[in-house]
Amino acid sequence: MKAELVLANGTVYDPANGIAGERMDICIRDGKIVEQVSEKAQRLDLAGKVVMPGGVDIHTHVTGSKVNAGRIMRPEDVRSSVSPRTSLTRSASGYTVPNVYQIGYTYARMGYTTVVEAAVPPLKARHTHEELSAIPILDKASLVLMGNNWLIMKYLSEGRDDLVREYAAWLLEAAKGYGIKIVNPGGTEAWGWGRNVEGVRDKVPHFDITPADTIKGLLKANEELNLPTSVHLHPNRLGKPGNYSTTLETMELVRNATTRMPRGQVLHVVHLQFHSYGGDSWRNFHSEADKLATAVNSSSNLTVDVGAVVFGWSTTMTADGPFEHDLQRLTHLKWTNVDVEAETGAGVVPHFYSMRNAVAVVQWCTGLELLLLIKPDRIFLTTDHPNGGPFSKYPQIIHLLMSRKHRDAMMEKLNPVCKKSMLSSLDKEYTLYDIAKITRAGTAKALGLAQKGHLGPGADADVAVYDLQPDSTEGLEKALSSAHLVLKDGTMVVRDGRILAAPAGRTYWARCQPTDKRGEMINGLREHFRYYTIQLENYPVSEEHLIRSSPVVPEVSS
Amino acid sequence: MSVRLVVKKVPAVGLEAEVIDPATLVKKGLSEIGRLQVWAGRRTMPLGEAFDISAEGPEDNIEIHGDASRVKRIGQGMASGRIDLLGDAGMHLGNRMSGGEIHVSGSVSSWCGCEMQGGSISIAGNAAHYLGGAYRGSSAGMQGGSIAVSGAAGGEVGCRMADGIITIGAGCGDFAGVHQKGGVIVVHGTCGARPGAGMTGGLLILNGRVESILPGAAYVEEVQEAEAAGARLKGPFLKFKCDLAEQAQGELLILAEPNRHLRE
Repeated sequence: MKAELVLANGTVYDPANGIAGERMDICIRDGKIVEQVSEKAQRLDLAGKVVMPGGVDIHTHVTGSKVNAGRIMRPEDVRSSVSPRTSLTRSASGYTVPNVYQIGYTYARMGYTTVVEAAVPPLKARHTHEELSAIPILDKASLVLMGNNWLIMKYLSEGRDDLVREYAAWLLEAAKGYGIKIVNPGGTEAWGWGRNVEGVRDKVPHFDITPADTIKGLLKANEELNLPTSVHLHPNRLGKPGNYSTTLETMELVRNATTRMPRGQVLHVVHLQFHSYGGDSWRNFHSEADKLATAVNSSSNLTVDVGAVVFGWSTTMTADGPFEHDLQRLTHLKWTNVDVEAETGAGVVPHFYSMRNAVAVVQWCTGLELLLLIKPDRIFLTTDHPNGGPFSKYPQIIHLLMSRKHRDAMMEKLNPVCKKSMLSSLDKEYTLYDIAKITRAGTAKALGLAQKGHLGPGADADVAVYDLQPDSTEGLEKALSSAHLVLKDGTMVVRDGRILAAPAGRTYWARCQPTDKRGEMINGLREHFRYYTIQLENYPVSEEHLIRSSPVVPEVSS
Repeated sequence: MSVRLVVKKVPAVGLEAEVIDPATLVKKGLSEIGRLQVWAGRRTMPLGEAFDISAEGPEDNIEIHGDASRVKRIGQGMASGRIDLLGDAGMHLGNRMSGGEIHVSGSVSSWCGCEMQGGSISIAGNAAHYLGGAYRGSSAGMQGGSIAVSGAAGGEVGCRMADGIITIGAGCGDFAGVHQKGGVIVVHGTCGARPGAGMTGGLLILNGRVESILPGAAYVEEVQEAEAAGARLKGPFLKFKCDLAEQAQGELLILAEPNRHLRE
């Protein structure tokens, strides 16, 4: 018997199919959206409710090496939010560094059904997948850190683009990763020597290349491999006053690059808010969001996510090791430095974004400015969880985007520096249609997940239903935090904010076909692995390790 | 209503009894109190199974009789009222409390008064480790109020203490005032090794023999007396700034006479 369901009479927002608040029925059969179902289908009347595709988070740090360093370092955060197990759910804990169960349940309650772990050191991939598999309900994918990898940089300096491509393909398979991530190219490597790089034209210590070479080289490999998503880039100089010029220069590197993939973008710049600062010190620190917005709006091959800041505690964690060191020197809070011995590096520092602190308020304004100035098809909602704040605060940001009045009221409570910001003059208000773009349609497209982020026939039946009025922001945050109904592959997993079922989600990864360069690449790897703490044969994460392995097989270019 | 709890049967695994808080308990009926659920390991049980519960007197307080040394979290987070313990108490007594008072006629286990904000705890017997300290990962321990122990205390008294006062009558273990940031700790009797390690502020007075100090304690001068919360202690005392490894803003006063070995 086929499981059939009709979500009837809801007000549907499905930007990928051009549906903006139409009252219509959504038909579901066997976990997929279909054109129509039989008479016998169960009908759920959703009159007066808002229906959207399940949310897709393009950039979040929820598993693996540095996330655990954060959990270990912050027991006070873990115990600040604890709920005991029930007959259905496991014990959940943590606020900015939630445990895997808290992550799954909280995302699901918010109507999110797919998340992307944004930074995996290949050497720590096995651990990452252990945790991804343990996150209930959600479909997952992960991005593999390659921007400071010695072999990549060696091949690049030797001009062996073919081996860069072959090795990147092998690394994705070995780490069961979905896409390529670059973090502070060259800078994290320099950090291994107690240094950093200051721009895309700096030389990387001990390698005859620049960050620009790494970005362009991996971007070329990414497109030749026809990977579903583009390279995701965390540019150099994160969090520094005056870093916007480096970000613009970085974007300029890919001005003429193209892709044949349906996603359209060749580069996804992550947490742009942290890369949009003017000034030359913390005293004259200010937002340059308008310049970045112009650059993004005028290049059709770029997407970004915002990395917005919310006030309160966060735990900053990034593969940008030198940044975390600088932050610790600034705030004197506790600091952990990890993974420098792996193919990358990372640091973790707790951080408090205070409403009275001028820098934090400028960061808050910058994030909102970017969201309001950049077209919603090209910018996506993130907090770079947990760096700008926990993902559970997305509803707060959505409220600010949808109501100028709410923004103005909020600004009354902040350090007066916000009155000088461009934000105070921006009138734009997001509609639910725009919100659906920055949280679902846009992210799914940028990730190349054709079955996600929309409600057209063939899509996975991941659906979020919210109890809210399209023309009012009354009760918005609560409605978005605690969805009326969430379906995952057609199964009801949340009802009125309560978890009803916790099925295991898929893990997407890219299985690239080996080419005739594989033998040469592996021989080079064997040489390299003389210095690893693990045998080459034991290094790849086997597919059996993933609970619901869902490989994506990119087309081979002729 | 004065609520009297007499220990009947506490499971070996101990009881998480944070429900024993005057503000909530004295307003409830006896049968309702008896039905309150408390965790014992991975199961819950009604409070009435662990205690005989009765009411006496009009005063709003809680009296606990018997061996409550395995009853944890008594008075956790309490804001007002009074608890009298006629016997010993388990771990986490009065942690995070912000007001009210707790009196213990026996001894208490570790983590007593951790991260408390206000109120007072007096203990006639001894206290174990982390008295008035911070839980793992927290930036501040005790932040206000007072703790007085007539007997001895264990290790790490006042760990990361930010404010308030702790007095100990008969000596303490190692690392007294470790990472102390503010407030006052006074220890009469013998003090263990390495007091004031990582101290960045506050006042730590050791009025007895001290086993050893760290090189991070920088000697300043000899002073004739010490003053703590209005009381004067007769010296002379050796005065140190502590800890040089941090910002050296803490003040460590050690009774001079039995401690000449510290300056050799």
